[in-house]
Amino acid sequence: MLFNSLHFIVFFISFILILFSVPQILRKYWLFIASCYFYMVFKPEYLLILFSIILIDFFCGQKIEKTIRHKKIWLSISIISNLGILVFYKYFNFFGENINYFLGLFNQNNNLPILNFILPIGLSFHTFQAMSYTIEVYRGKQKSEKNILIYSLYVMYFPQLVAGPIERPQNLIHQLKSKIYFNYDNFLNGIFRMSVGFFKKVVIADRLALYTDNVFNNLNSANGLETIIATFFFSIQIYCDFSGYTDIAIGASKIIGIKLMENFNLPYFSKSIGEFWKRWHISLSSWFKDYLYIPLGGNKSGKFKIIFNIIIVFSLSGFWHGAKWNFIIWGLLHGIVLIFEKSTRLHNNLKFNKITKTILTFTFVNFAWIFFRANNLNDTLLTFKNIASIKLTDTYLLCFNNIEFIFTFLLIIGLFITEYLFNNKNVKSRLHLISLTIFFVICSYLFGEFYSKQFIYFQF
Amino acid sequence: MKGIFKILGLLFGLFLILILAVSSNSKWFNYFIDFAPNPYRYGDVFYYSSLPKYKSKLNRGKFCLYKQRANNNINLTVIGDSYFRDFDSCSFNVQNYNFIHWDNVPDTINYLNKNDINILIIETTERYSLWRLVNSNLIVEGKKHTNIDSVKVDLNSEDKLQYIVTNYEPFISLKSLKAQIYLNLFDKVDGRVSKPDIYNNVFLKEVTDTNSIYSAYYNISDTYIDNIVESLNLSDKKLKSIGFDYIYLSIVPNSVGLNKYYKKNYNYVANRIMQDKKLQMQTINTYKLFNNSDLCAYYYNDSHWNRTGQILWLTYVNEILNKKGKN
Repeated sequence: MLFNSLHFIVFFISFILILFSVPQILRKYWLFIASCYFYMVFKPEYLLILFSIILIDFFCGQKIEKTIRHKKIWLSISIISNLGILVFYKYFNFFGENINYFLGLFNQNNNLPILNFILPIGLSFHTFQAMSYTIEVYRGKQKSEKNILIYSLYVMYFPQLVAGPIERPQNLIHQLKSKIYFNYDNFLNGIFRMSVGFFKKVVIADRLALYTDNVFNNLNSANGLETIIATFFFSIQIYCDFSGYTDIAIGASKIIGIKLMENFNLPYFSKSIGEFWKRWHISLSSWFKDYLYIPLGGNKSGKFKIIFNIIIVFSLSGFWHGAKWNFIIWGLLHGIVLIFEKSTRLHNNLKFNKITKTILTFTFVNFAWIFFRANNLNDTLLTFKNIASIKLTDTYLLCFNNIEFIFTFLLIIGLFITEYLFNNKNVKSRLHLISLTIFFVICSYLFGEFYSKQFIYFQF
Repeated sequence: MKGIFKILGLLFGLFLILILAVSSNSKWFNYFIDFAPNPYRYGDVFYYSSLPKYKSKLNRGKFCLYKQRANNNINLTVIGDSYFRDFDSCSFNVQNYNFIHWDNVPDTINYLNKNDINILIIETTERYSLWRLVNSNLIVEGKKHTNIDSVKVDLNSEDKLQYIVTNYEPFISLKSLKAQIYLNLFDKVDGRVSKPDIYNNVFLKEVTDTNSIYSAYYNISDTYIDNIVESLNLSDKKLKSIGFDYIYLSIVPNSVGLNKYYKKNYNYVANRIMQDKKLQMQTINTYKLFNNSDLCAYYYNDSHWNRTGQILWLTYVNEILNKKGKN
């Protein structure tokens, strides 16, 4: 179910009304049923995959806690099972195609089969969240959960089921165990946060998508200026798309009374790539830091080991996003620049002011998004070729008229200013909250693009 | 008091779940869809465009031409669509009139009296002709022979939900406001209608989009037309063996096809089928009639014909019926 659909709005209203009307004892069950329905709307049979992940990790978590000798074995079973499902559904065809290509170079025609199935939505998110549970139990930082209902909700809690934030058991499980109460302030703040998320998604991201899709899906006919604008627009689009989703998830959860972690903190105001990764998709970057980078040795190992660790973490982070070379290169690019920053202490040594550093960082991030957005490596090269061929006479309007083009730029400027001034600050006055929510809802409807465009991160 | 609110909340929540169920494409809930306001009440194009300038109430209601039933032994059966919703037995100069909607066409007809003059009119619109003429068991005698894929038309559940939940005032006013803002500021209309830039009219996108099989500009090969004609010839024989004395095919042209600004690449499906020399079925071709008329035969906010179109078609058909009655 897409958050930006009427289906979700009707579903969510009915869910909330029933949640706070039924007796306390039934509320968790209702939350579980709603989460199942939410996921089944995408493809009902994939609920079985989700249940198998839940059962394996629930069982492994208990075993890890009980045994002393075989902790590692049970942790390995959990991790191999989760990664096995992820690799099979997400990466099998990627490896198959590459092996086939490689064999083809030596005239070997024993082709591996290419499987024809749709990736279960949000698989990368819930497998990572499930793994963080068994790892934390193994580390002794989290007690294993004895109630299968609570553990199921930890993996499939619908506001963050398909695109995060990737929660840690320490933050979510105890909240899921608590009683669910209606709180008027939570309700107002949640609705407000959701309205901001809808606005970002349907008014900004989906409007920008009209332009970027037009360019990146027809690169042969796009000119240099259009390609540059589309690249810039995509940076804003992906931010509004993903942070808009997160706002809706956090807001919806707040109404239920559960606080989810923040996933963004003004990433485009970063003054270095290192800082960018502390502000962008925080739940994923901290996951990689805690469960991969630090176990590999982190910053405490030798210089070459650090470089190696960063390269491993960033390539895998890129690969996590999708089974394409483009994503791996995108991750690697970030890793290389981070290594360069660390080894030269560039951001400290450069005598640029903060604004120049921010612009330089944003320009690099923008450049790297090209690899992320282009449909394949050929398209990436074509994008650079287009940009290099920019002329003064290039047209730029594409699917917009002058007014919509200016309106779009004003939206982007407005977004940066408001986010900078009010970043995640709570609006205290109830009257302000209500009026701002009404404003965002009306603007979202009147200026929103409603063609049920999926969130970009749903595909991961 | 708190308890009452909880019960009301529960009931309303359950009601919303029922709405979600109805909007799903499950057949179990098809009955409930009739409770929702009719999406065609201002015309199907208005439903999609929401622009207030196209918001005219349609002139609907039974359209009678004859006060008394004729005594001419003509038993008229019409297989048709929504174009016939204003017609009744009083619209035709016949003794008996039976209307069968395309959605309910039986596999055979057994009420025909061989002492009567049994006439069948197969009416479809140009937009749906490629779909209708290959999907009904009664009409398509050579279904396998035609080698034409059937196409299912269905609203997706999000569209259904939208019209169940938002097809009321003040939502309609809000939709109109959005449509006006988009047209006036961004020069855009709803993605499901064609832009009204030339003529005081809007058209359903599926009629003008060249990729849609319902489009008047979809590229239809001669082989495709030959297959349909061949199938209709087989149907003609089968229907005559059932007991029909005369069978007429009437494909009502798309309004967009009559618009001089939209002529380029028009596929002329109606004319190509009805004027095919191999076609043995008789035809009621109103293309010339509608095209030559100074009066517009269609609603300007709807793809259906208006009273003028109805009169032109009925006059033409009743002339044919009168001749058959005399024979």
